[in-house]
Order: sequence, then structure tokens, then C-alpha cells
Amino acid sequence: MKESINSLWTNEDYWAIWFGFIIIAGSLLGWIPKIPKVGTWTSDPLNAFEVIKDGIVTGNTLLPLLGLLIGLAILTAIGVAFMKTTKVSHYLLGFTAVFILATISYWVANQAEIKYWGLSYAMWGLLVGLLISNTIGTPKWLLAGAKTEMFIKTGLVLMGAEILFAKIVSLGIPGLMVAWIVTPIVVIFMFIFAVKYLKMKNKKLAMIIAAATSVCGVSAAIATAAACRAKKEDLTLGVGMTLIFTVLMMFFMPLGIKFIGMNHILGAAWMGGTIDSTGAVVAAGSMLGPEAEQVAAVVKMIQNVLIGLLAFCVAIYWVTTVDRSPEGPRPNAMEIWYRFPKFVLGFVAASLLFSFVIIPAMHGDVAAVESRFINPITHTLRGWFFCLAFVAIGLESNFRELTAQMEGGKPMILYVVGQTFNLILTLFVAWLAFMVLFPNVV
Amino acid sequence: MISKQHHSLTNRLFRFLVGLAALTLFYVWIMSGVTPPGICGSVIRHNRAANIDASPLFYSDVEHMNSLERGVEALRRAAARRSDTDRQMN
Repeated sequence: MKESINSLWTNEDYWAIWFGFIIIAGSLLGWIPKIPKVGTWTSDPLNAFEVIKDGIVTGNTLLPLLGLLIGLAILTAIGVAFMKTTKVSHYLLGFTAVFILATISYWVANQAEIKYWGLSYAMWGLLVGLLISNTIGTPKWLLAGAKTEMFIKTGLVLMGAEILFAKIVSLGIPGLMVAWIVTPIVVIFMFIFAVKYLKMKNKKLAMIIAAATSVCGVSAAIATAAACRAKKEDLTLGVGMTLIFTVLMMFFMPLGIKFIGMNHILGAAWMGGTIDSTGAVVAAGSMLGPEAEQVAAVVKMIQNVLIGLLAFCVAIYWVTTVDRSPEGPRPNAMEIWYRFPKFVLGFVAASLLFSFVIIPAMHGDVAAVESRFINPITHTLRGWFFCLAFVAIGLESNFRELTAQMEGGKPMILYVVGQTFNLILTLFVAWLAFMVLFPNVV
Repeated sequence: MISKQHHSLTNRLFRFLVGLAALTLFYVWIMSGVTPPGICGSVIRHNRAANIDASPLFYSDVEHMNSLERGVEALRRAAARRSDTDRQMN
């Protein structure tokens, strides 16, 4: 297996890196304007497209959204043209439709009541795509624009800019204990449990569920799925399960903590380490009070930073162990390099660039870096790429394949057993860290 | 042949419309401000009262993440001050 210099412009992984770093460079040099978003609305759906400044409507986002569609279409079409996987004209037509469906998903998800329930754009994007693919069937012209892997990988490279290592010390050693000691143990436990005890044939699905349960739900599922090159159906199943259980845990964990009268800081650390998505952690933490909300969110944030390391380790493990034939020799360094999903390097490089170059260059002012470069540009674009990816996954998945992945309910057993183990271990470590070893940390 | 194709298309369109109607009904039901009964609905009621967005997937998606981080910093400073005072008193 050899890789030629041509792969730099024919391989999707490299294109994800080029797209990501073009956007990052454009953001740092001030060449990219603020990226438009679909806003929140309560009763008037058109409010989602209004630009509001100091409480006054100053315009709408329709034109900027059109600009974003054109900009993203041109940028990604360049890659598609070089990769020669699809005719550019076909891609542009399909991409336009996928972008419109992504905008609808964002618009649906941004209704205030929907946000209170924690039903994110990921779920709506998937549902919109699944509805089309499983009823009328996704037409070929639409499939031409559904470049799932390209969207996911580019989104992940951009996400690297949000993984700031300065964040991991926000809660001192106790925060690190809950977020960084428990998480790898749970990932390894769940993977071993799935393969050795449940005898799950689909190791990729097992890894996706393990990562989603122990790190940060949907985001970890996407990163892991891309790192081990999982099928779209595996990701759909993993994401679907984590979305359902996140809502359930957001509902019942704060109630349980209040009922047994647990210390609120301990309860916050417990929820921060176990509830999958950050929004649900904030909502559940807020039920216990403002201090608990802060501690829960920061524990989750420290855990979120692990996502890059996890993707890197999963990619290495997959190319060296899982993908290797049992009788074959151990792959040498060059073989590992050829098989390694290169976009992970872009993901890690973006994180290192922002953590150790951009932030020190801005005199350690993390908030300034976030407000100038990350939040208005790379973060918003990462959201768009993920939303496009979820619509595309839905368009490419079908329920028959999804049912085949169920293996008699084994993925569900894995999630329940893994999450139970996660709950017990996280509670023990949080108690040890916040109540016994460092009781005066907050 | 044409009749068969037409039937299949009608069938698929019908399934799409049924799916769309089900999805729309679910959406409108949630949007209408439904709350699970009793204590099960307490999180939704709390989110509504405090206007908390529970949908962010990643920490950077939380709009007030900076203020939450600053809150923890303040908590840690206050805890350090308490420890110092306790030590001095002992």
C-alpha cells in the first residue's frame, strides 16, 4: 500500500485539512467576515432570520446566508474537482439542496421550546435526511452533494481550534481526575465488554458508543467514527442512542441528586462527567443552583478537550490492531502512516496551533482569541459543516441497514452497562476528588 | 410498466407525506410548550423560566460558557481565601 504525492490533492483527508486551514488562516488574517447563523425564535419563525442589535432589528440574514452557501459551495467544489469523485456541476446542485435542508434543520432546532428540551440540530438534520431517504428515496442529484465524510472531517479540523489546552486546568486536579481519569477507563471497559463479552461483530459501532458515552456524546461519536472509518449507519445509531439518553439523564439526574440530598458540588461534578452533551449538563447543573451549573459545565469542558486525544488514539489503534490481518506481520511505521486518517493530524494541529501559538501570541488572553477568531468564524463554520454532515448521513442511511446493526439489542446493552459503569466510577472519583482529597477546591 | 412505476411513486410519496406529518405533529407538540407531568417536568419548567438552552453539543456551543468559567474561577478564589483564613485562625 503506497501513497503518492498526488494524494495531497486527491485524498479527502488532505482536502479536509486544506479546507480547515484555509478557513483558519482567513479567520486569523481577518479575510473572512462574521459567519451568519440561524437565530433563535419563539412564535414568529421569521425572527430566526433577523439581525438584532441592542434590541432593534437592523436587517436580515438571508443575503449573508446566500453568501455563505456560495462561499462554501465554491470552496468545497474546488476539492471535489480535484478528487474527481463527482461531476462539479452535479455536486453544486446537490450541495445547494443539502445546504437548504441544513438551514431548515437549524431553523427547526432553534425554536425556543425545542432548545429547552435539548433537541439539537444534529437530531433534526438526521431526521430530515432519514425521512427523505426512507420514503421517497434520495435522488441521485441530491446524493451528489451529500459528501458526509468531507463535511465531518472539515468540521473536525475546525473543531481543533476550539480544543484549547489552557482549559484543562480550569478546575485544578479534581477536575482533571473526574474528566481525564474516568473517561479513558470507561472507553476501554466498554470496548472490551462489547468485543469480549457481548461478542459484538461491529467493533466500530462499539467504539462509537463507548466514546459517545464517556466523552461528549455526539461530538465524540463523530470524531471516533471518522477516526475508525465507520459506516454512516453506525454513526446514526450511536448518535441516536446518545441523544435519547442525554435527554433522560438531564431529566432524572438532578432530581435524584436533590432527592438523596447529595452535596451539590459533588452532584455537579458527577453530572458533568456523565451526561453526554454540554447543553444538557448546563441545564441539569442549573437545577441545583448557579455554583453547581458552573462546576458541571467546567468539568464537561475539561472532558471535551479529550476528544482530540481520543480520535488520535482510536485512529492509531485501528490501523495497528483492528484493521491488521491476524496472521499478518505488525505494520511498520510507513504502513501506519499510509493507513492513518490524515485529517486527525489537521484536527490535532489546529488545536496545538491555537493552544500554543495563537493564545501565547495574544498574551494568553483566551477570551480574546475566542471572541475574535473562534466564535464568529471557525466555530460557526464547524457547526455548519456538522449540520451538513448530519443531513447527508440521514440522506445516505436506511432503516433496513440500521436494523441490521442492532445485533439483537447488543448496542443498547452496551450503552446501558457502559453508562452504569460510568455513573458508578465517576461518582466514586468525584467523591474522592471533591470531598476527600481536595474538599476546599471550590 | 408505467402504471407500476406510477403506483410505486404514489406509494413513496404517500409514505413521505405520512412521515412528514408525523414529524410535524411531534414538532408542534413540543413547540406548543408541553411539559411532562409532576417532577418529571421540573427540568423543562426550570429551563423555560431561566431561558436555558439545553441543546448545545460541545462546550463552545454554550453561549455563556465564558461566564460559567469565570464563575468557577471566582469560586476557587473564594475557596482559597477561606482556606487561608482557616489556616491563620488555627
